[in-house]
Amino acid sequence: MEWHLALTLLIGGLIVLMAIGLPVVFGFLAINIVGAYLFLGGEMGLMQMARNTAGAVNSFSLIPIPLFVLMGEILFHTGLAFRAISAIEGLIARVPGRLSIVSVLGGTAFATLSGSSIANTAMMGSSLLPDMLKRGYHPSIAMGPIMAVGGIAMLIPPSALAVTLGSLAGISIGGLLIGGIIPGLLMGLAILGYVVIRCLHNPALAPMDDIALPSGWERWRPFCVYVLPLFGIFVLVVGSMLIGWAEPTESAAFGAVAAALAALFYGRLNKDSLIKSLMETTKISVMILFVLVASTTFSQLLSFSGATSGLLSVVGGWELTPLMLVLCMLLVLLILGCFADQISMIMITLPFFMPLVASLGLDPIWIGVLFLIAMEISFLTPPFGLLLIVMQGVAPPGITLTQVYKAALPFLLLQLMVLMMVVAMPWLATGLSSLMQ
Amino acid sequence: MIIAMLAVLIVYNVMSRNLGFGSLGWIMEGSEYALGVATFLGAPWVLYENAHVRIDILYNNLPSQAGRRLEILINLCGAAIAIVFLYFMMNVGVEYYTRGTRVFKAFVFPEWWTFVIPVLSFGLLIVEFLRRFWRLVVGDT
Repeated sequence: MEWHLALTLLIGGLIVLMAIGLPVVFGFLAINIVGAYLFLGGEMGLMQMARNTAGAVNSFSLIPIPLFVLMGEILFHTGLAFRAISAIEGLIARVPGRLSIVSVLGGTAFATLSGSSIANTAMMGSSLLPDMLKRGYHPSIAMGPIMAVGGIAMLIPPSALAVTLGSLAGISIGGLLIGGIIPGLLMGLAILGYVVIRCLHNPALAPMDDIALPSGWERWRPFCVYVLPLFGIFVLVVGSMLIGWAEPTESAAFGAVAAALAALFYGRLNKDSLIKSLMETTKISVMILFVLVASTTFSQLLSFSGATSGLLSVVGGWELTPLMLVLCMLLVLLILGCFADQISMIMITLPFFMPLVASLGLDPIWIGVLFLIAMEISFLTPPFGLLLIVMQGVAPPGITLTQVYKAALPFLLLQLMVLMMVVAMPWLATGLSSLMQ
Repeated sequence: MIIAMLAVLIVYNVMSRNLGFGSLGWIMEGSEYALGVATFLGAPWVLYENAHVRIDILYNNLPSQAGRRLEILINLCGAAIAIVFLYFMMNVGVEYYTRGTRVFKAFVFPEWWTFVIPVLSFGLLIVEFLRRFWRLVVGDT
């Protein structure tokens, strides 16, 4: 079979199956069955597929996924995250768009403790949004920052998606996690700046509130009690990786235990919250990991059918400069991101991207971080952006999906801007991780 | 049970880091297998909870009758896919069993063991897909 026919069959078939609503993982598995029969040698191929599938997730490098998710879920379900955010709220006063700023700062803070963008958005949306709308905030300045900052969770460690990407792409997971920090903070700053400027320019967007906040120690106490110790967990997780003291899997284990101990110490850990956290962790982790079960065979099929080399030789024929090629890859990711979920994006594109990256001698961590930012943007792109849907799910009745789309738009542009900055200045992504020992 | 598995997995990990702090080979390998076990056992439960990632835009935009037919089709497809996997996984497992191959890493055990949980997983997936299929068909009449 010609390579382009094979490519159409594999990718096209996958898209059709996904579009009719088959769960994504079963789309991949179905294509694996057909492809293994055609390209891996009939029944022998199917046996090979069965062997691949059984062993696909037995990988030490994937273990941080459930641990990172658990860390965030514990802090979420025990209510510690809420405490931390209200402590931050107590510090911000007499500024335009106060609660929007709280959502950006609180969301970024939670991003340092949670590996899941969905949990982040759901929490901020359900805790801050009703209050903001009640105080007369315009929906766009109320919802936009919450969604935008939700995406940061997957960029700043701990990040389950960074682990998935690093593991499948063979990029240093520690390097990728550390590499996401600066772009993540940059993203937070950009969002913050935008909110302040918009609200200064048009105070009607976010009516000033004049609630009286306690002064002095009373004001700082919650911050010291709830935020600083939790920040310590982040320092532990990232620090232990940065100084080469622990592998990502090990620091993830530290993080999960530290989160549970913190919850215990504050007297918030009980049977119910622990069970709830474990249930949610299992659900989210299995959602990610079971799709990866199909990954080994799928990338083998792309390669054995000649689809990978065929497409790569065509791209090679264009004689693009490395920069153009990187921009092309990002464009593919951004378009794909409008329709596909993040794990599917990784599985479809990596078999093509990684050989290109290797042949051009590009820094894999730089590419990995760009990949993460592109995936973060895909959380906000209509029609299927996951955070848009989550946001509408937690927003009070009366908020339409169109309003959610509109609220996300300016922040989408900000994220594109940060993406371009990292393209132009690779050291933003690679600087910190090059310090790793 | 699945939750307990994952909890065990995590405690297992953490114990290994905090007590030994060394990379004891069998703990690393053990947690790799545990991750596989948790994933395969978790998958049918996640299907039961309707939490596998899927694109539901077509379903949401179809009239209810057509939507239900689509769902019936999807559940049948799912069951068929799981049957193929079950069949070939069992084949490989039986092949290993008859050849008597063993895994020689930190643990030494018969290789067919590694197929027990995946086979169970796909078996449960078939049951769950057929249960959903049946509910839709019965609801139809």
